[in-house]
Amino acid sequence: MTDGPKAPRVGENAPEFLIETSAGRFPLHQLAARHEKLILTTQDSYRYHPN
Amino acid sequence: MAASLKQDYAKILKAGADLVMISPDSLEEHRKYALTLFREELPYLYVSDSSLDIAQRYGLIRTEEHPHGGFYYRSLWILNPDARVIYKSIPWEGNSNVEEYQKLFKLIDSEPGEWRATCGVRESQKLQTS
Repeated sequence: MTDGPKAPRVGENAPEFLIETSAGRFPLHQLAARHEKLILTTQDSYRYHPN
Repeated sequence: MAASLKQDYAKILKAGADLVMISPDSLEEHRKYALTLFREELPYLYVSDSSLDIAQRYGLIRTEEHPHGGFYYRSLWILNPDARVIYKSIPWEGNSNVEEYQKLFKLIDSEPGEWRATCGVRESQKLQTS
């Protein structure tokens, strides 16, 4: 179970955020358009994974 | 997870995809972690979500703290060029489950990844074999 707004479903647009790349800062949809697929992974803080 | 994805990032690019890692750590913490562990920066894209804004909008905040600490779900999302979600996994167990990890590579039509066990798994394997 999660708090906050409902997670986007398969088939829905991914919520936007900005991504810094070596070629500049792009909105998510612009970066996605440059690739066949764009993978997003969220990880918890490194402070819980010192190794 | 960082070690596996670092190792397999070239395969992801070769498949025409790219990878963005998001975590509540700052960019400075992310870089420090990489330099400490790998003596080089991690190759994939990184977004700091220290405000938890992304986590809120993607529904990734735990209601109860994880046993190892933290309130942030590990997750995997694959988007098509229209930025539509074509696959999602919450929580994503790719760090501890090789099948979950390899599914990512199947979904992007890539050759298999070279999954590396997390420290915890390595420790349990040591116990089983000793």
